[in-house]
Amino acid sequence: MQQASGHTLKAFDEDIERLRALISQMGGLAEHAISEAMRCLVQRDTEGAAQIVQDDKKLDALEIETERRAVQLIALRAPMAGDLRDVVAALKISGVVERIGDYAKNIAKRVPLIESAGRIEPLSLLPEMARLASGMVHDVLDAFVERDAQAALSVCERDEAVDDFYDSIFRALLTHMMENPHNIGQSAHLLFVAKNLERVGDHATNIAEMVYYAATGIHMADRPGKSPRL
Amino acid sequence: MNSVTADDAITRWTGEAMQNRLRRRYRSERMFKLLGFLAVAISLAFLAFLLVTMIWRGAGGLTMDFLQASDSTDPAMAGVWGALKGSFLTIIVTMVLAFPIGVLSAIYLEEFAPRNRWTDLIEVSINNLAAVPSIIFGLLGLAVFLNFMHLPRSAALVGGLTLALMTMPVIVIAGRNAITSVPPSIREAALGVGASQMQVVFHHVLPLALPGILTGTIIGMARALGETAPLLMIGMRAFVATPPSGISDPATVLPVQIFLWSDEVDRAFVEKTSAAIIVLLLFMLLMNGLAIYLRNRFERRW
Amino acid sequence: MDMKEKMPITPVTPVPTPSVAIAAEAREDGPSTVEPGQPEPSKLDAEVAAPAIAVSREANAGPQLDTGRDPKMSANDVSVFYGEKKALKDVSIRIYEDLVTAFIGPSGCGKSTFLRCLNRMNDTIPSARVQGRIELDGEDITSPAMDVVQLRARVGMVFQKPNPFPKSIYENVAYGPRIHGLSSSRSELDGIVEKSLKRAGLWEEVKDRLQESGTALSGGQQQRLCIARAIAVDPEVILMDEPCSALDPIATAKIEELIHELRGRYAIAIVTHNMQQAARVSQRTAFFHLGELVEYGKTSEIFTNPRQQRTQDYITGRYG
Repeated sequence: MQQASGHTLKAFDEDIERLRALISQMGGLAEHAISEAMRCLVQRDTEGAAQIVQDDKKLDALEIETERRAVQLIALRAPMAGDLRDVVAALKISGVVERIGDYAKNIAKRVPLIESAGRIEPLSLLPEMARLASGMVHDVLDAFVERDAQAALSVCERDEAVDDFYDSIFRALLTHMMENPHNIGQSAHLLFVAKNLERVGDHATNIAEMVYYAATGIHMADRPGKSPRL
Repeated sequence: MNSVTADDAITRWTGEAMQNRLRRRYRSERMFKLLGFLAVAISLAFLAFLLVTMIWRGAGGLTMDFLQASDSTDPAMAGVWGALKGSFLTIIVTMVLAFPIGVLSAIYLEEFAPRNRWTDLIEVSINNLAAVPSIIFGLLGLAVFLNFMHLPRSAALVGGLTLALMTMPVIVIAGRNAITSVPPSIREAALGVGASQMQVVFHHVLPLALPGILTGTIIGMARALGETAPLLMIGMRAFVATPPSGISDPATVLPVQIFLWSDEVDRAFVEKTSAAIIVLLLFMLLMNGLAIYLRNRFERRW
Repeated sequence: MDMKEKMPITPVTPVPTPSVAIAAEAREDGPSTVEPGQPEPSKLDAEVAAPAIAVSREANAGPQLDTGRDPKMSANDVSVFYGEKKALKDVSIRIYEDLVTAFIGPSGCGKSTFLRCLNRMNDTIPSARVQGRIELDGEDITSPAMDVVQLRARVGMVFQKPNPFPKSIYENVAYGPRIHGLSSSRSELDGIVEKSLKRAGLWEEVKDRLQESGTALSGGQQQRLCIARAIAVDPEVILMDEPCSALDPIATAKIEELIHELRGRYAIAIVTHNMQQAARVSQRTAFFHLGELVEYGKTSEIFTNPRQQRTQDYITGRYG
C-alpha cells in the first residue's frame, strides 16, 4: 500500500519524517562504526578504536530520542494502519540499530587486546565479512526509508553469506589455535569479533522483517534456514 | 507573529475617527429606541382614549339590572342579558363546529395528505378564506342557511354556523403552523419505536401542537365574538325582548346590540351603548386572558 | 490496487498460545472464520486464517469472514435515490448478531442513509427511493408480510441528538411496550421499564424520579434514556446513528461501555464519524465513500492493514 498523499495535518507528516530521519541517522552512525572498527582492527589503531567506543554514546542518545518521539507520536496523533506500522517499526528498529552499534563498540574494544605481533591469517577474512554485514545494514535501512519490501527481502537472503563467512572463519581460527597454543588468546578475541559481525547480519535480517511488515502489513513468514552451530 | 502589536491595537481603537464612529452608532441606537417608544405610545394613546371615553360615558350604566335585563324600548329598562345569552349560544355553536373540523383538517393536511397540486391549491384557498371580508360570509349564510335550508332566521344556530365558516380557516392555519413547528426529532423518535402514523400524530404531535392550536382557536373566537356585519346579514338585527332559551330561538349578539342601540335616537341609550361596549371589552379581555392561561398551561418544553 | 509487495504466503503451523489470551481475543474480534477445504481450526487459532490478500479482490466481500453463520440482517445491492440523485450505490453487507458493526466514512458518504434503510426510516422522506433487497432473518423487509411498524420494533434506532419524548422518564420507556401490547398489567410494564433502564445503565440514577420529565436529564442521561426506550420493545437489532456526537467525552465513554454490554444481546450497527470510536467499539467495520461500500472487514484488520487505498487514506487522515 503506497503512502499516496500527505496527511491533512501537515504536522503529522513532519513528525513521521523526523522519526524516520532519526533512524537514518542512527543507521549511518552504526555503519560507520562497523567499518571504522574493522579498519582499526586491521591497522591496530588503538586511538581510533577508543574514539569508536566514545561515539557509541551518541547512538544510545539517538535511540532514547527515537523512543521518546515514537511514543509521543502514538499518543498525540493516534496513527492508524500504515502510519502505525511505520511508527512501531521505527521504535523497534532503533533498538536493534543501537545493539548493532554496541557490537561495533565491542569490536573496537578488542583492538588494543590484539597484540601487533605478526600477521594473523584469519584476520584477512574479517574485513570482507564486515563489508557484507555493514552493507546489509545500509541496504536494509535504505529499504526502510523507501518502504521497499522487496529490498528488505533480498537483504534477508544475504545473511546466509555472512553465516557462511562465520563458519569459515571459525574453522580457520580453530586451525590456527590448534597450530600454536600461543595464538589462542588472540584467536579467541577474533572469534568474538567474527561472532559480533555474524550477529550484526542477523540483526539486519530482523530489521528487514520489521521493514517488510511495516510496508506490507504481513509478517515475513519465511526465514532462511541457519546452518548448524557447533 | 501577530500582524498587529499591542500598541497598534490600542491606537487603532482609541483614535479620533474610531471614537466618532462609535458615538454615531450609539446615537442612532438611541434614536431608534426613542422612535420605537413613540410608536408604542401613540398606539396606546388611541386605545387609552377609547377606554377612557367609554368608561366615562358608560360606567354609570353598569348596574346589575343592566346586566340582567333584556332589551326593551324603554332605555331605563334595557339591559344586555339577552345579547349576552345570544352571544354565548352563538359562540358555543361556532366552537362545536369550527374547532373539530378545523383541527382535523389541519392534521389531515399536514400529516396525511399527499403533496401535490391539489393540496397546494387547498392550502392557498384556505389562506385566502381567512382573509375574506366577514360580510361575504354573511351573504353566504343568508343564501345557504336561510334561503336554501330554511333554518330559523336570527337564530343562534344560523349565526353560529356562519361564524364557524369564518373561524374555521383561522383554526386550520394556526393548527398547521403549530403542527409544523413540532420538531421532526420527536416524530422520528416515535416512528423509531414502532408507532404508526396515527399514533405519532395523536400521542406526540398533537399534544405538542396544542398550545399553538388553542391560541389560534381563541384568537379566532375572539374575532367571531366581535363580528357584527355577517350577523346583521342573517337577520340578527331584529328587536328581541326575551332572551333566547335555545339555539333555534331568535336572538341577538352583543356587538349587534351595541349597533342597534347606537342607532337609537333617544339620548338615554348613549349610556347604555357605552356600558355595553365596556361589557364587550371585558368579555374580550376575559377571552384573551383565557387564551394566555391555557397556552401557558399546556406549553411543554421540548 | 498495488499488489507487488504482497507475495503468496505459505500457511504457518500455528503456535499454541495461552488459551486465556486467545479467548479474550476471540471475544473481541468476533467468532473465528472457517475456511472451506482446510481442517476446521480450533478456537485457539482465531487469528490464523488465510491472510487478507489471498482471496477475494472484491471491495465488499471480506475474506470469507463469518461464514457458517446466518446474518441477522443482510443487504444486497441496495441503492438509494433522492429524486434523480443516486446517493447510495449497490451496497451489499451483512450484519451479525453478537457483533457491533461500525459504518465509517466522510460526511455525505451515505452511511446514515444506509442505516436508515435498515428500519425503513427512509420511507418518511417523500423523494427517497430504495432499490435492492434487505432482509431481516431472511425475510424481505419491504414485503407485505413484514409490517413496517413491527419492523421498527424489531429494529430499534437511537438518533444523533438525544430526543426523549417530552413526557416523564417512565412514560418514555413505557410508550413502546404499551403501543405494541407487550405487557398485560401495570406491574408487568413496571418490570419492563425497570429492566430496560437497568440495561441502559440509567436505573440507579433515575429510579427515584421516574415521574420527572425526560428532558430534564443531562445529555448523556437523555441518550441512555433513548437507548432504554429502544430496548424496551425488545428489539433484535439496534441501529445507532452517531449516538455520541452530541455528548462530552465522559458521557461518550459510558455509552461505549453500554454498547459493549449490549453486544451480547442485540446485533448493533453504529454510524460514526469518529474513527477512534469505531476502533474502540466495533468488531466489524464498513468504510463508505461517495455512496459506495469501499471495504468491509474485521475492525482490527481495517485499522492495522486495510486492503483498499481509499480506506488507508481515510483512516490515516490523508483524505482530502
